[in-house]
Amino acid sequence: MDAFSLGLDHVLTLSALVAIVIGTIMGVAVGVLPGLGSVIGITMVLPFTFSMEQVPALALMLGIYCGSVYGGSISAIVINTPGTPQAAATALDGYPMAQRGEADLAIGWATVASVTGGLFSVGVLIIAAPQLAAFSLNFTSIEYFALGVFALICIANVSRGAMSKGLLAGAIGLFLATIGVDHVTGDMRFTFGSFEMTAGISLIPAIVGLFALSEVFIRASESTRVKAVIAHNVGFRLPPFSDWVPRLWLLLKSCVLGSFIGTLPGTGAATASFIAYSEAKRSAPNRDKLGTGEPDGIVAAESANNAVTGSAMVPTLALGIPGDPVTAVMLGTFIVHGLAPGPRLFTEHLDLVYAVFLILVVVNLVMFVVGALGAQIFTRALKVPEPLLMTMVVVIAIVGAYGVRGNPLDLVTAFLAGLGGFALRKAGFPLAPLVIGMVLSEMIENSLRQGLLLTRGSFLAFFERPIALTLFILTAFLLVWPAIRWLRGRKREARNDIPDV
Amino acid sequence: MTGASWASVIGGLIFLTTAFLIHHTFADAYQTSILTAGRGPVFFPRILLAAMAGLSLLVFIEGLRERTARPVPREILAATVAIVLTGGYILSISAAGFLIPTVIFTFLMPFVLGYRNLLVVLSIAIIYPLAIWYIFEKVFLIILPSSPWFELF
Repeated sequence: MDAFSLGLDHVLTLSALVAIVIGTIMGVAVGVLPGLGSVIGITMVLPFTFSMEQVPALALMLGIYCGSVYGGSISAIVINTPGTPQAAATALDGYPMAQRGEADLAIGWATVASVTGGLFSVGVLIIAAPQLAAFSLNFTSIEYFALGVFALICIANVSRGAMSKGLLAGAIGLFLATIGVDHVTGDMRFTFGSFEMTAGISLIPAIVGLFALSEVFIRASESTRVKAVIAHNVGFRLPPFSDWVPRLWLLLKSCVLGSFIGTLPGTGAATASFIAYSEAKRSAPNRDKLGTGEPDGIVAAESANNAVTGSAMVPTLALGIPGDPVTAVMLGTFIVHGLAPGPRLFTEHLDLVYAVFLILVVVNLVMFVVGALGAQIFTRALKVPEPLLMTMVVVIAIVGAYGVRGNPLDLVTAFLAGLGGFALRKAGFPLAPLVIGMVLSEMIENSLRQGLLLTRGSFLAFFERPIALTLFILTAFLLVWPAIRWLRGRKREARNDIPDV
Repeated sequence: MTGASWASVIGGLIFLTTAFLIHHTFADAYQTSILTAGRGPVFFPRILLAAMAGLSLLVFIEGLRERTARPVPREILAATVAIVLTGGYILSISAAGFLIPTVIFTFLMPFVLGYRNLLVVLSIAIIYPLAIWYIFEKVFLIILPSSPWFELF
């Protein structure tokens, strides 16, 4: 039996199909609720997957991932509060439509655009991931080192206005992952004589703390709470095809934009939706009406943010390099379930790769049905009081942190990570580089050390390999670019200060 | 009213921790290994710590120029109580098992976060932990920490 048929067999089981449906429903629910988001959603269901088989577990996770990106649009439309940052641009036109009494139609536009974007990006994933994986088989440890550093700097660089904080967060993440046994020499590093520390800091408890617990502490420290005031008729109404025809080019363009942005490290769905929205404002058929309840805005934002879901999995699956915290968590959960993303996944477990592709296709189709039938029910979830919700999040997050290894020390890790995440967020640090740093640390360190063995200890020889050199140049450019931009801004300001004669 | 920004406080703390860790990398325990092209176990961490030292200093200096509004005491209190309660909950799980601390935590936390409906909180505090415990212990067969006093949970 060929790999595709095997993959199809994996997906066409009752447990996998049920997991897809439940995952998508839960994902949409998590997306609808402001403040939870994809990362917390995935960490919340992680403990449920520990006793599941590999493919159903992945199906549940992927359902949550895609569903949550779409779900954010419902609360953005209904209460003008995006459930996830990815849906912020959707509120710009979705809410005015709801105010006009067209919430059901706005949800219809958002649903179709989301499903189209999602399916488009699965196509990109199916085409690009195997190519990238095959290409990366030529990589030596030097290329992997260059790639790891490039990905991390990209993510840190996205923290606009806080690049030093982004870089510092990335360095902290890299450092934290070095604690424990050094796998090359066998020495203990930074354990300070503690036996428990020899296993290092477990990734999942750290993510649980950094995202879920810190979110609860942040909410506790802020007196403003999201109040769900649902004044509109919520439902689902499909826009007629004749209304789609003039918007097909916009839809395609937003899908391409979203898919491209998704493959870049550090950008993510929120960036994609705003870039697509800006592009719509520049070139959409009804660009003058954008911001007043024009479907063009919803189509651009929703197709772009969902187009990120599949394409963001390209570097994650093909290279084992996640592009954002969501894919980092996905990567962590893949590893928990015995799947190590990277080029070897495509040669050794091609059936599972096909299964992931097929799951994503089915998830997007299920998402349409879930959105069409459940928009009204999901909106009711907004009525759950936030303090109750946050309390439940803490409990389930704690189970998730404990369940990975059954080690009580992981609970302490989660709590300390929560405390650290809270302090860092209060100080304006982005958490994404920290998590990505933790994920990439082992790869970057091992490839650096192996690379130095290959080059007999010469750093300069790293620059002799064309792919690595290109990546190093891009990295250097990313590091220098903010300084150039700042200098140009200063020059412009200085020019503006010169009084007219 | 303004005060020292969070960024400068956190930057300063990270700098001090990093300085200590850099000093620690010169401990005798790390000087024995000669593997990996003559580079020992702290070769990579030292690079990171050096970067962290420089960056934390930069964050500290940048933070001095930031103006941060002084937080409202009530908000600090709520966050502190939430953190202490969560910390206590986590520590008590090891001592008293999952179920009992979870019931207590689920009962207290909504009040800390500003929810006051006693009946709802009481219902959630009983039903939710029991449901979670039952699902994981009996359905998914994931063993959660048990209490030293009761055989069942």
